[in-house]
Amino acid sequence: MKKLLCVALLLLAAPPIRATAPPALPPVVTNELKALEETYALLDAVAEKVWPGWTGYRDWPFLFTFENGLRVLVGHPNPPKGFEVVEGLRVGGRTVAADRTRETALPLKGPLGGGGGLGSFGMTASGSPVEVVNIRLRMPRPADPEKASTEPPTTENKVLVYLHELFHGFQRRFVTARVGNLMYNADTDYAVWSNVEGIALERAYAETDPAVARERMKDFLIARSLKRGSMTGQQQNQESSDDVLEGTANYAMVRALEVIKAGGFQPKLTTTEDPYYHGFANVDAMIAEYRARLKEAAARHEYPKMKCYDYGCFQALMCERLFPGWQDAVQKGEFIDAILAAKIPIADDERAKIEQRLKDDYPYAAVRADAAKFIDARDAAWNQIKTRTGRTYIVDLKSTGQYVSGLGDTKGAYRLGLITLFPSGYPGFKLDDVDMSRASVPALTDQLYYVKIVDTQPASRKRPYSVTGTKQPDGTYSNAVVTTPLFTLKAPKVRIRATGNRVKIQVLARVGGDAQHGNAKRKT
Amino acid sequence: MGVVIVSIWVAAAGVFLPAERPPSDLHVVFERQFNFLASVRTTTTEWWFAPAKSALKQGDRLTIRRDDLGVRWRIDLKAGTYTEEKIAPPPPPAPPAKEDIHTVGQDYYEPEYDWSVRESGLKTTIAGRACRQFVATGEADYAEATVKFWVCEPIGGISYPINDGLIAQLSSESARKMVGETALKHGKAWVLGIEETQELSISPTLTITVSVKTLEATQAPAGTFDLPANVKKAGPR
Repeated sequence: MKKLLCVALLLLAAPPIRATAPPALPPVVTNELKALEETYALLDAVAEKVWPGWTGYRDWPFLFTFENGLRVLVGHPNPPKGFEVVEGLRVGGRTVAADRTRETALPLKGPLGGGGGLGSFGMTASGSPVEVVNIRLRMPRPADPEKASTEPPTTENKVLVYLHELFHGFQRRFVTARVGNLMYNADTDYAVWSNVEGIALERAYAETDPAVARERMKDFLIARSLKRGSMTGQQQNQESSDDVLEGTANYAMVRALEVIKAGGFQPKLTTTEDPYYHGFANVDAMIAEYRARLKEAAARHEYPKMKCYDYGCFQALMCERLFPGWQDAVQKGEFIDAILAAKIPIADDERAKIEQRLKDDYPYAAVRADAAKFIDARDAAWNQIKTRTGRTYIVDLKSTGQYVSGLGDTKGAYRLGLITLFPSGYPGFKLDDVDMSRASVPALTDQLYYVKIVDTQPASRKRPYSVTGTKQPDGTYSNAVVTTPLFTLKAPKVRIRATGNRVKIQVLARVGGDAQHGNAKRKT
Repeated sequence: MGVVIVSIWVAAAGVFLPAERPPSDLHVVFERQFNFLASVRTTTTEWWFAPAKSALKQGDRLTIRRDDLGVRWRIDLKAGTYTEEKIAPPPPPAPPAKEDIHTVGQDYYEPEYDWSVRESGLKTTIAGRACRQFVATGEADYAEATVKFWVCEPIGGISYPINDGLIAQLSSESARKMVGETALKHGKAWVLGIEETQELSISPTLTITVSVKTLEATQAPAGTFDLPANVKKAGPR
């Protein structure tokens, strides 16, 4: 009888038999979905302690895009054309659907690293846009600028990334007025005081005496006001707004770790199920890593926008420590730095003293020398590269989905917004079966996917380029070798668009093999 | 005999002379489809023109322009409110901005395409007007575009700026300029259908289609260019 009951239960638990096999997802993909399941478990334990009233995190659909073009939707109310529901697989109690129509032959090897944001994808049955958490999962590369260590991505970090994105979803309830992202390149004064304010923030966090911590926060506030001398009011608001948007989402990550450290979470996922997960056993080291990141961010002069993650996070952590209940003011539209300024007033006569101690008690002179050297070199590089005229070569990786920033060595490069300047030449890169040689002339990358190199002596060239490979009926080349006077590019599939004084080489596949699988589609 | 001749002349006049003056108003209805990120947003716009007046309605929003009064009313039909603004002469073109290192590489990339425009040979009729298709391909450093558009014979004697409103529906400033210039070159033709496809630098493919559904020279209904009676002023803009 017991045996019969077991068989009956097994039959009930089994997915229904279909005439054709359901499209099973490979283990590397289903393993990724386990991290999302664990994120929900973590949020069930910590959300209320991170931010009072944080609920609804299970309502957000997720769109995962894998490097081979496979797309997986979790919890989408109306998966768009091309997606098929994966029978028998649920995450957080919600259905999973997969789109294989863009899948290439690129083999996926875990563990994968992830990042993303919120966006609209598809529509409900009644025609309203569907907001999703959009995650891109990638195999880590040694040259990734954001990945300094050679350690593989851990599932803990991925769980925190998903938590970060879900916090952005929660922010939609109270962040209504958007002033836009900070779009600002540092000058020397900005770079100096930005560095000093970061050091002050780190010192405040390290300080155990609340009275002394408040003094360090005064240092932070004065350094911030000195930093903003060359910024417009709009840029200042953008910076403070970014601190709220990204800083509180990062704060949610660190605060979750603090709750875990205090014993507030029992992991559900095991190391047996996922060898890259250890149930946040190293929580102290993880918290220390965020503090180290703050110090690194402070010393970086090139991209002010990115500092909001760390600066906003630690301002929020200081608010949590010194002024519990601060979240109410944020929900009413206050910036975090404005909350701190209101809670820690500074008299006019005190301000002068603080300005002096920023020069005496902080490594002001060394920071200024370092910042001036960097900014002067960056500006010289820009002036050199922007004045190059002649024939323009563009290497376009958009179809591969690969950002160029993670490919080439950026030593000696400078950043201006989305532009990275290579005054000593572009180093080239290798990406699977794509190989671009070094170009020994000043060059830049821009708009995430493109390398731009200008040949200033086109008249002296016999021809702008030559190409070998198999020409396809659609005008593309497979197994192509494109030779220009400045560099050579090898790729499994390319299209060359030569018009006027511009030669654009679009890389359409990064792995060779079956053309059906290796080729990306491009409409125009 | 004289009476007979006069009667024939009067009868002929009745046949060949119009019974009333031709209407000088124009009614245009067009649809815009915005196709991006696996979703399609469709909006329908109704537009009336009369000498020195126009009224443009899109969903709950109605904009009435009265050049004869020097004002523009923006009306929220759902809220029952409106704002009034004076029509100012267009500002002179701004001088080219001086480069500021603080913002280099920070602006949204607006491609300035190099266009190649050709007539495809296709012909059609849109809202009763004979049209010829043009196909333009645009190349920029970090973007590509294709614009297919129908250049059509205008209604004789009517010169309302309908191209301005239809071409303004496109996403690319460079495409708007190219389509406008092409229409101008072809006898100030009307552009009654456009499909713009852009492979943008960072984001996925964006397609916008604009198609005229109704185009008729007819008298506007009474009150078309007047403030609706039931709306209240919301305040100056």
